[in-house]
Amino acid sequence: MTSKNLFWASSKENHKRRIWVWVITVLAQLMMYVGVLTVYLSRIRMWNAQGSYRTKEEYQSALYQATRDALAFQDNLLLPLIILAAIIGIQGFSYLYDRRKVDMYHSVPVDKNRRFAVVYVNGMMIYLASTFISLFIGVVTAAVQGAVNGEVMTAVGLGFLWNLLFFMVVYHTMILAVMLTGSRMLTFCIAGMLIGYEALLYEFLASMRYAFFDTVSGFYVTYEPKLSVLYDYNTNMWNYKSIQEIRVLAGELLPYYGKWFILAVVLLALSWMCYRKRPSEAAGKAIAFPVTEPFLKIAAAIPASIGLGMWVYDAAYGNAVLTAVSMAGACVIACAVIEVIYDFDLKSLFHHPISSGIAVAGIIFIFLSFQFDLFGYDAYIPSADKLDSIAINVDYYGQFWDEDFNYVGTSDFSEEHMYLRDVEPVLALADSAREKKPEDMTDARTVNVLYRLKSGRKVGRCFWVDSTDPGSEELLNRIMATKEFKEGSFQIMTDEDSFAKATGMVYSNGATNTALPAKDSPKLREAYLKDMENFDFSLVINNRPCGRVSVNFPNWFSTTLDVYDSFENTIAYLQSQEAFYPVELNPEDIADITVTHYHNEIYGDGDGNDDGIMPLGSVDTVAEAAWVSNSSYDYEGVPTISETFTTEEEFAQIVPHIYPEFLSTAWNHPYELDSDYDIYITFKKDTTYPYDRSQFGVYYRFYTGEAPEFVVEATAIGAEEAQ
Amino acid sequence: MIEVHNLTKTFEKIKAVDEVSVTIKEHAVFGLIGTNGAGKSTVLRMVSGVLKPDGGTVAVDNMPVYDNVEAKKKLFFIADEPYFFANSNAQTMERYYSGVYEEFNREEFYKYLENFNLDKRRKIGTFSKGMKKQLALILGICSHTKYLLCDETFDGLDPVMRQGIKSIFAKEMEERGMTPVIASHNLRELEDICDHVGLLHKGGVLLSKDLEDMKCNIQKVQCVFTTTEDELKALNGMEIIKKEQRGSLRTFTVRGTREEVTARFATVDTVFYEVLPLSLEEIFISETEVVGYDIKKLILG
Repeated sequence: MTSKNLFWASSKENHKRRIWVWVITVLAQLMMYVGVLTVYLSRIRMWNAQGSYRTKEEYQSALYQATRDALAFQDNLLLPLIILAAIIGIQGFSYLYDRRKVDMYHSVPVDKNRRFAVVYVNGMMIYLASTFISLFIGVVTAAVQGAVNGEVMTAVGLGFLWNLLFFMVVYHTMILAVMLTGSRMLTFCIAGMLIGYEALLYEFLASMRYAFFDTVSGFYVTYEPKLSVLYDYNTNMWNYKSIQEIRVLAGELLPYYGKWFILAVVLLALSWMCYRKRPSEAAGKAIAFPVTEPFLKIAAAIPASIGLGMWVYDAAYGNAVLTAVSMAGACVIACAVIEVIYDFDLKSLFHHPISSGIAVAGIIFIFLSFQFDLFGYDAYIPSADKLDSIAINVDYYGQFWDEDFNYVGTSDFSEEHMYLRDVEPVLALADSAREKKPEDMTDARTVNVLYRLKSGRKVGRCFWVDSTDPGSEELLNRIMATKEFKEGSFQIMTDEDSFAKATGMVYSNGATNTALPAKDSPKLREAYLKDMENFDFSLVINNRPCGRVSVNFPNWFSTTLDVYDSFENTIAYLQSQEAFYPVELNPEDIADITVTHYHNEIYGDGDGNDDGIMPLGSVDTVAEAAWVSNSSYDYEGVPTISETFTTEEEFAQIVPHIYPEFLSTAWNHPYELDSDYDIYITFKKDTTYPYDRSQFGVYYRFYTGEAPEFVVEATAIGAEEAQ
Repeated sequence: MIEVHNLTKTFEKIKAVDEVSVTIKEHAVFGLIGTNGAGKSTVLRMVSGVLKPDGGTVAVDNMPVYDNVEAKKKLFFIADEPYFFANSNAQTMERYYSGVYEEFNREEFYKYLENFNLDKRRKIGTFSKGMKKQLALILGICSHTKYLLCDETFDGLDPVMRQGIKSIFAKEMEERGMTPVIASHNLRELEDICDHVGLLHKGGVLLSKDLEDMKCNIQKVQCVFTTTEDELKALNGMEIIKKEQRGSLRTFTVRGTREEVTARFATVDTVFYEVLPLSLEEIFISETEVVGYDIKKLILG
């Protein structure tokens, strides 16, 4: 018999012993693809019968999407794929667990490599054949119902590759786990470790960073496991379902195809190497290669100890000693448990004390390095000569979008578009913020910084600055006045194309809403850009917008542009459109003003503000005690007092001290507007300004401490009874 | 020929096989005797290429056996607990082995099955322990490999069955030069089968000899001497391995051929003397006692 024939003869023999795997896989795939497709399509037909689709095209599009959701990128596939990969991978090589089987298979004249190839290829054949059968039936079913077109078929092909590569990575991981172990239980443990270790360890270390360091920032640099297919699969699935354009979808998938393929090849090569080296006597033992036992023990014990230690840290309100003791204790227990598992013997609890000692020493070192910041995490500020550029964010969250007008996060936008080359002010700001606590500041602002080093490394840090500190204000002005900062913070600065596509614009001063012609958007942009030349930190921290332009784009996306009194060009344009009205209301237009006073001071914590956040042990009043003991806010019995003012004289006294809630910005001090009062204004029928008539009135707030005396008195506790 | 040279295997910290050297010649039945834990199975598993030796070499017809398909084609290993596929019957196993061993004789297989009253369609899971061993032996024999390695395969077989197997062995040895290697902890089970015996104890070889050589070179003599002088004269210069006395009846186990011993006793005045045949067991007892072992404890239980 030729070696090729021999291969297929062996393959046929092997398949005979994997019939139950065939049956399970085919049934599961049919259920996952054909079953789910049938449910999806019948749901669409039902919704169509109920008249949920306005046009035939809409219905057709829903049918296509249903087929894509079922056959290409289905979010229910993750777990079944893992289970199938585990069954196929483990069953194929499970003979290695059993001495009797090993005696037979390893004594017969069959080449080891060929046996590996036969079992491996047969596993792949089981998956591929069952998938092809299911997809074929699925596509035919969808085609019969008119739910397939070329794009859907391409998406199904792309989804097939995506699932195949995912399956291969998990399948190869399972095979590697079998090669490293001598029993099923240990195979599952090792497979779990191989699949989830990176993400888990990083998660635990990240929790330690957040607990022990002050400058940790997830704003720019967020962790994404590099090798976790589970993470990749899970986080991208929803994205791929929504991407309609096949070229875009393929472009998104391609890097993952490459990464997963390489990962699959590496895992397979490792599995094969381990298979070649694996001693037959490993059957039935816990770990196939005794040399790996201490490494696996240490590798498993450390994250387990960190996990438990951080749980204790949270439970013990950050008690460092308890945390350290629990981490070390957890490490000892974890090592002991692993030794018992290795030997299947309770008496082995304290075997191999050296490796256990190394694990405990390792965990203590990790704890100390965080507790005492041995590596200078918080003190880290790169030197200017090592820096390529910086992205920075100071308490600002704007609206950003991509070319398809889909939402883009603030950090993502500024990370991509902000490249501050003048790094000195940022470094000086970071240096001035060293060891400063927000609780000691008058107006603490969070500053998130992304240091882009010349080496290519990116480091994210966060610190606090006091906006009322002149030194900080000056540095922030230097930073925020730069072109680079503005381009990374305001999309209007660079995105001319989007503004040309504006579908509508509305200007509002909080009370009036005036539509502006959409075709004017380039004109408005030009004016706004001129005004932005004078933009800096002092402008936004010391001033409040006098109005806001909302710009609408396709795909129901919109953004806003704050207008300040100093924005002469923008205001001139608005005036040319008769859209500009002062933010201060005309008392003659007001019908009545209703002021609601919440009396938050009752729930005050005695720390000078009315945030209701009470330090432990500072319960002074019965009301406070009730609040603390209930731990949830009980509105019953709250002395909320409302008073409606109706005279023009009262309006004239109120109007200079109020500001529309709508125009509030994150830049301004949160306590500049008094949240203890709600001011609701209704307007007369005939007014000098075209007030918003879409609702009964508009909401305003008093500037903090500026509520007129007569309002304070009229809404004071007991005022109602006095009246 | 299978040559085992300084074979060593350690499991964790336990030395299961310690520098074992034996030569298994062709066309003879080789018995590997030893107590439980003596290392018989480990030696056989290394000889069959299942285990990789930590030290030493195993050569089957001058070929290293581990990871060597050509060498493995020459041998069939029947483990102490032979494995059969789940839910399989004799026919299924025949199909597998006939695919693996090129020389597998299917006709012979079914003929033997019939002779041994084993149903080819009956699930092997329903077979008794003895029947499974019979099936494993038939599979091994019909694979037509040069060497048949049997680990405790004869334990549990009834005497009739053992006789049957023995005659098949004889036939196969005669027809195609098959060399069975049989490991057992029970000397009595091998007595009527083996031509050559290796005794393993605590991982090492105590002795390895041809049974015929051993039988020819050791004799048991029962006699009653007339005088003490006669006794001294008869025994002078003889290598006495064992000596027993019951009243005036003396029993000696001495080294030498039957002729030599008879000639020596004929020269002295005796009331009665007789040279008796020794059982394999007695030979082993005698041989191993010489080197300080109590064989009864080791292999007779």
